[in-house]
Amino acid sequence: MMMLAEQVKALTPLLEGGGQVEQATIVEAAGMISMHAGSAMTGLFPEGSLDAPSVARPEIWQRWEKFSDYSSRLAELGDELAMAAEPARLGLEPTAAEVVEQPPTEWEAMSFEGLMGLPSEEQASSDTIDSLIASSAPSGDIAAQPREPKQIVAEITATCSSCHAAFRR
Amino acid sequence: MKRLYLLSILTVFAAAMAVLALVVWPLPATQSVPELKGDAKRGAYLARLSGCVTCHTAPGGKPMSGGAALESKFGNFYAPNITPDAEYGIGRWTFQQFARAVRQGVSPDGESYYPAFPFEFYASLTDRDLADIWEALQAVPAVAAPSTPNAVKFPFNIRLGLKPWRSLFERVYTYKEDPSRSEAWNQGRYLVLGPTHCAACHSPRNLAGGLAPEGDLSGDPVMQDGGASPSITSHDLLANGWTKENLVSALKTGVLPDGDTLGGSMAEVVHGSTRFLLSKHLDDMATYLLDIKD
Repeated sequence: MMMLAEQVKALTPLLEGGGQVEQATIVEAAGMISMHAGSAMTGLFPEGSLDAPSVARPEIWQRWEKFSDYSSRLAELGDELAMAAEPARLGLEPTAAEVVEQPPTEWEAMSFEGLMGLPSEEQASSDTIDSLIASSAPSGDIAAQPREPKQIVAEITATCSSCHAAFRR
Repeated sequence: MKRLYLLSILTVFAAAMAVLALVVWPLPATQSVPELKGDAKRGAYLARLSGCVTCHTAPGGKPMSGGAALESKFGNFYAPNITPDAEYGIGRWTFQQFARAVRQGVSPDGESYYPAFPFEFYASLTDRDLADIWEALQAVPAVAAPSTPNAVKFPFNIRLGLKPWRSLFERVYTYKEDPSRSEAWNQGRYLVLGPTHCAACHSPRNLAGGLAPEGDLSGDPVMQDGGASPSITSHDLLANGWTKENLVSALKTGVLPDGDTLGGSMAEVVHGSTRFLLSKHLDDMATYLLDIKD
């Protein structure tokens, strides 16, 4: 889990307005997340493993399916992030228009609809952590609905938070 | 037998007097608010900042059409539908009624709201703030869906009991500028102790649910929902390695300095509220929380 925290830490600048992360860092972090999520993560919690000191709660076995869902989703997100980490989509090669135009201020970038969680905005389907996760692209649909790395990392952190809230002391 | 009869009469009389006392127990006098023209976008920002959107919108639900359960030892509270729907929302309210509800915690029917609705903190909102939030709510699509009634245990379900509670425990936050401190520190204090209502969770509460004195952010080991909130005093934050930069980052992203992610209700606060805040406001909050001298 500490390894996953290191990857999230490396990706956090993407969530801070205007922050950028090198493509190689994103690809490496995405790969590590994929590798350590899914069955690699659920395999860390064989029944009875909480006899040793652990921050996990016994609910992890009572709601094993939910825990497995979180873990599997994290692996999918790692894969999706690796695919999304292409220079053009990371904004590393700005278009001519972007070079000329002034970026909007933080306030200008906000909209009434986005703030209130109304349709047609990013927040419309992601007003809570669980709905953010529920509304994400289904498995196998990554190519059809490509997302920006920032959106994927936001869902990665949301997935971690939900799992921690449910299964961590 | 006669004594028992007399005792019964006295009991009924005492109960009737108690109810009468509660009925006539005064609530805060109505404050008149100027009818300003509001700015919907600024109101939407304030609604995010103050947690209105988060509390009044259930997961997957339509904005402001009613929220998920707020669990407490007194029972579950549900933030109501505050869309402009005339039947189920606040479509028939006046701006004056809205202002009294938000800043004074009194419904258009003259009943006190439960302090699960943080009106003690919203008392610090300005007239312009209220006009802007009102404008924003008028611009949200009406949703014709009833609010979920509160599921509060007896005797806490008797709203009249809130009147003496307010007299004894209500702590209204009033903004006071400290001229010896920077503008950023003062702005941060206003945001932290006022509309973002950090103290609602990070201040210890007494057995009756009353808040500790203003500015006490020493954490609540027995929160209403059964959890525990950490101390966020400047002393404890600094001792735990927080800096202005990593605190702003955590409030913006939900990611802690070591890469771990916030869980529980604070994760929802970040996701539904603080991640929307302007960097300047997050900077100001961190300046106050860490008591940074300029």
